[in-house]
Amino acid sequence: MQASVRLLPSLLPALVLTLGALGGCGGGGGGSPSPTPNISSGSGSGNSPSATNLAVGSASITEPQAHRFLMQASFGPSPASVARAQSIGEAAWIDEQWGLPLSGPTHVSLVTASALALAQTKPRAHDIAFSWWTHALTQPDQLRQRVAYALSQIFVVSTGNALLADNSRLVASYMDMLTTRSGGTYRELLEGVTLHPAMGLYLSHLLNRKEDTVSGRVPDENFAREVMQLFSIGLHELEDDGTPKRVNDQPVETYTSADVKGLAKVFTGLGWYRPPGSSAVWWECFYGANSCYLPEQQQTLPMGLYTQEHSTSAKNFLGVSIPVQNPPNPSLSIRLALDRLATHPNTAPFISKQLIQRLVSSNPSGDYVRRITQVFRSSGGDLKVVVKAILLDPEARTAPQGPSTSRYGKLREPVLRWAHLLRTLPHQSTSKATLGDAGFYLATDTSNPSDGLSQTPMAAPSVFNFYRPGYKPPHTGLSDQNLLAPEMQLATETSVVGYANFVAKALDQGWGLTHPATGKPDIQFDLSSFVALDDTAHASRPSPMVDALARQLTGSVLPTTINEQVLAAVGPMPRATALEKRRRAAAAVLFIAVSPVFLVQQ
Amino acid sequence: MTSISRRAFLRHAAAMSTLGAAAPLGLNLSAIGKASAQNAQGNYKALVCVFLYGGNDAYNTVLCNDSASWSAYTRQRDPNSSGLGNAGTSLALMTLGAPAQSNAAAGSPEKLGGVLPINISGAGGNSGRSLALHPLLTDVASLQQAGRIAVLANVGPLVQPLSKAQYAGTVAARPSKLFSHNDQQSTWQSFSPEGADAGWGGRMGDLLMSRNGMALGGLTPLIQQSLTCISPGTPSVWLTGQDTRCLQVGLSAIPSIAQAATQLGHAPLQNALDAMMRSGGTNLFATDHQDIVSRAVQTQGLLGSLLPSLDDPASSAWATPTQSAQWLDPMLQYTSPMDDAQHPNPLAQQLQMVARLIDANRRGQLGIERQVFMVSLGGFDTHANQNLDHADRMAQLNHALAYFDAVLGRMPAGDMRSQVTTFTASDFGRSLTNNGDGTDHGWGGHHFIMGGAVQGGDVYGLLPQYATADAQGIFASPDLIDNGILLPSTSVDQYAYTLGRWMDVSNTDLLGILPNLGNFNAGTHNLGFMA
Repeated sequence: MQASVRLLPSLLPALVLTLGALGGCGGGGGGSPSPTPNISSGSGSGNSPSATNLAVGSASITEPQAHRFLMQASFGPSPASVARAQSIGEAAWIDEQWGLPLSGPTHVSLVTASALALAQTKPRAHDIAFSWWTHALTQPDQLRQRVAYALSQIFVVSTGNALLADNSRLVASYMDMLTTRSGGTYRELLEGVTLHPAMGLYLSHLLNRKEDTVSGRVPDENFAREVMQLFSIGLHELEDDGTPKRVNDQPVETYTSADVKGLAKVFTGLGWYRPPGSSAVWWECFYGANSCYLPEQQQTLPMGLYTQEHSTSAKNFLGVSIPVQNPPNPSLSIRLALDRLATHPNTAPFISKQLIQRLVSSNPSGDYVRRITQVFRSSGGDLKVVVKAILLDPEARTAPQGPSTSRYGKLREPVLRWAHLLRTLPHQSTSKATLGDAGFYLATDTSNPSDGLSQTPMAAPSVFNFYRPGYKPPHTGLSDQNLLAPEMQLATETSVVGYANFVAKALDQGWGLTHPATGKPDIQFDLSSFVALDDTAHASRPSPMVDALARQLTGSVLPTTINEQVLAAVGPMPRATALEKRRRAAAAVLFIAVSPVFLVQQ
Repeated sequence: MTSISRRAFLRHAAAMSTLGAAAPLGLNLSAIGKASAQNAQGNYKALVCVFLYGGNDAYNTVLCNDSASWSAYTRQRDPNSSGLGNAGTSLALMTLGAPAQSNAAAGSPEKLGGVLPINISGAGGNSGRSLALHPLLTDVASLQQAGRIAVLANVGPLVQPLSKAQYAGTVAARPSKLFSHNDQQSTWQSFSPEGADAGWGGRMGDLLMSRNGMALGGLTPLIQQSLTCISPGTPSVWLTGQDTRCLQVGLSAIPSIAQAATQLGHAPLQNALDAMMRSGGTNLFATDHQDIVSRAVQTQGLLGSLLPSLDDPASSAWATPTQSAQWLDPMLQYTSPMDDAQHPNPLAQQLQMVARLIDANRRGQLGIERQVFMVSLGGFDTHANQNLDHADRMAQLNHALAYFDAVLGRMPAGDMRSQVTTFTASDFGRSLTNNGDGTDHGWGGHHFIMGGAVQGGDVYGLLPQYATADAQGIFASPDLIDNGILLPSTSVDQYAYTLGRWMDVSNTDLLGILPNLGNFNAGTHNLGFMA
């Protein structure tokens, strides 16, 4: 695509400088933008009761309500999305969003375009950041994109892995798969995750060979262990409200080392995609040789299942016994395993609670988790229905009142705060504007806590994500009340200051790689409409500008105390020059961006 | 007090004064006189944990090359040694003295050459054994032979001494959630699975902090609670105490919100921004976040100006004077076996910050006598592509330890190697079995302790007996369970006890913070690797 996009070669030196050597192990795979599950379970994705019986979300809503809703359901409220949600209400907005077709460039097409534009032989780690930010900020199907990001934090692959950093087409394809399957069933999603070569490389079940008693070779246990611990059932048996079952006051572990060993045999015989009718020798395809298929194709297609390397011995795990197979049948083994994981009693509460935490609040009540668990089960794990129920649940829709206010909500992770600021404030990416439909933001790596956001999308430190769903910051007001705060794991003495400095610098100088055409960071903010409100009459107390920014960013004017602090800070700033006026507006944005109304989603 | 440090002291005193109501008690300027009487670094000791995230493959880090061990090792690690062709990638390192083959594949055993011999006295239960290191641990081998590095064999989390038979049963207590990354990281650091609220580094900090900053009046609480435990690496529970907080600093700087104010061209914004970030609302997510900001502002105010900049002459101990960009500094670069080229070493970068922080104590005459630091390196979860990935990690570890030893030998305060003890830890060791081109999660592992106060040049603990698996996958060794995983013979509690005693934590206090220690014979608590 975009063969003419060659205007950016001068970016290369800057890019080379920013590419650190990334450690890590794991794999890289490919993705399937429109995957055809070849081992689909019969387990139901039948019609499920949607949450429309709830008496919320069915009518037009206020501006603050729309803001609050869109912080949960999108990458941030833009003026247009606020207007739309206000006019049709939450339920209709959700339906409309799920009804939007998958449109616009895929992640694969964007990283291909950016690699071409930057004269690279293949997409690298930075290209997935370009693509991720472009999707988050500009795609109209915001709910799907936001859910896909939430899923990417449960079913983690990362460019922290050297193989995936070296070829991010795999990660791009994986994100496309998550995006597509975010509207399908959990079972389909789990299969997409299991068979995607990016996951195959990351958790090393790609090229996993059957055991061999002569040589002593054993199957790789990596994916078998993590698919249970992180992607489906978790470590402890759970009640439907998400709390651990207790027997003799002890939690009950869901699996043993023997289960891991049994399941490891299931995930043997996975190799690179083999095209139907290929005349290549099987192992040429298994190992991804050019003689089988183009690697670029294999990187975006589900892994192939090779009987030659699939374990034939009995496979026992989680109460399932797959007898000796002659001939070996990897498709059947994997189907039985995924069916078991998808229907395990833990899976519905385990996944439901994490989705609530990603979208709505860190400490959902047991009743809330149970309600979503029931929807998960009754809908056959239909993620569209589950997400709708999560967002329309009374606990999500009703703003907290009274003393519970102090316990409710979540700290928003830095990437979501920054996405919100970008979606809300007028700005331009020269790169995106110049390249048209296949354009992309020249976003930078934001991992450094000293001067960035402590995270870069799709670059978590490990399969355990940027933070843990059960994280409780020790010796804090939250932990005193036994409350979880996953995102607080990213908040350190360094990162809280780094965030403020990052926002200040980005508002003032722009953000992104330097664009050769402008000599400036690619993404530049346009605060002129707010500067225009900073008139002489209100110079020492710039209420019109601050109120307008507060409404744009938070949906209403600021609480009195915070408002006075912002006015007192910005009022004395000089406003003789255009730059000084701009900086007054930037300061007002910065103050709102570090205030509790912006940091905490309630 | 020299004029430089007096200026530094007054500068940070001035910085503190901008903190307003949230600042610690007013600074008592008479404290300067007391501070000047203190010995800058003479009574100082620090403990530095190097955590290897992902589970380091102990079998390919420290090798037993007595013939019986070596034979079993190569049989398990090289699947082709069975005579079967194409059975998998050999993970068996080459024998002592094998020449490196320069044209072999990057990271392959042939390319790396033979393992490196190190000293072993054969004391304890280790008679008749001989020991070697991964071929890229060249400097570690030299430091071991020079007596500044000791090896601790087969250490891991244990509730009590545990035999293989006891492990096979269900009665004897053992750590929960074995083989799980996050839980075993947490267990190593805190003796319980994920969710713990304090680790033994932080608990030692609690017990030692009363030695710190005693002459600095109103600053004393801040120094004790926030500067006793510091990490430039990944936040972790190990350094979290009950009273001390782990201060998380950057790799090369302690950022200040003054930068935001400067960026927007209006210095007074700093105080207003500070106030905004530390106030507003009663929501616990907000107020806990504000507490972090408060600690950041206070510690930055104290430490920011004391941290020697990289172009300061004193920094030549840990940085190349002409190179102010950390990631370009050749002193902080290692040779990667991936491409035989120089690359920035994130572990060395963190250790550079530790050295600067140690020196900040001298410059500011903060009177800190005990500190606990943590640094970390990821990428040890070598399920696949182990040869190259593990070789790369070994090269990073080797370079970083050698760098830190050299830096500590030439600190502005003099040779501080006897005052700083560095030790490694990891989620777990890995399986002896080969899964095709990698290894799986294990339990016990071998670790290094480095410093001038270390009784180096030997191995402590008990080396495992090697064995090969029979047709049912059973290993006929009391030390090897399924997959040839090491059943630890020494507990993390004993490891921690030995380090804690060196830091001068009392026997009684250590029994209080090491929950399983009492289950081990008192005569074995001190492993003897510290002078």
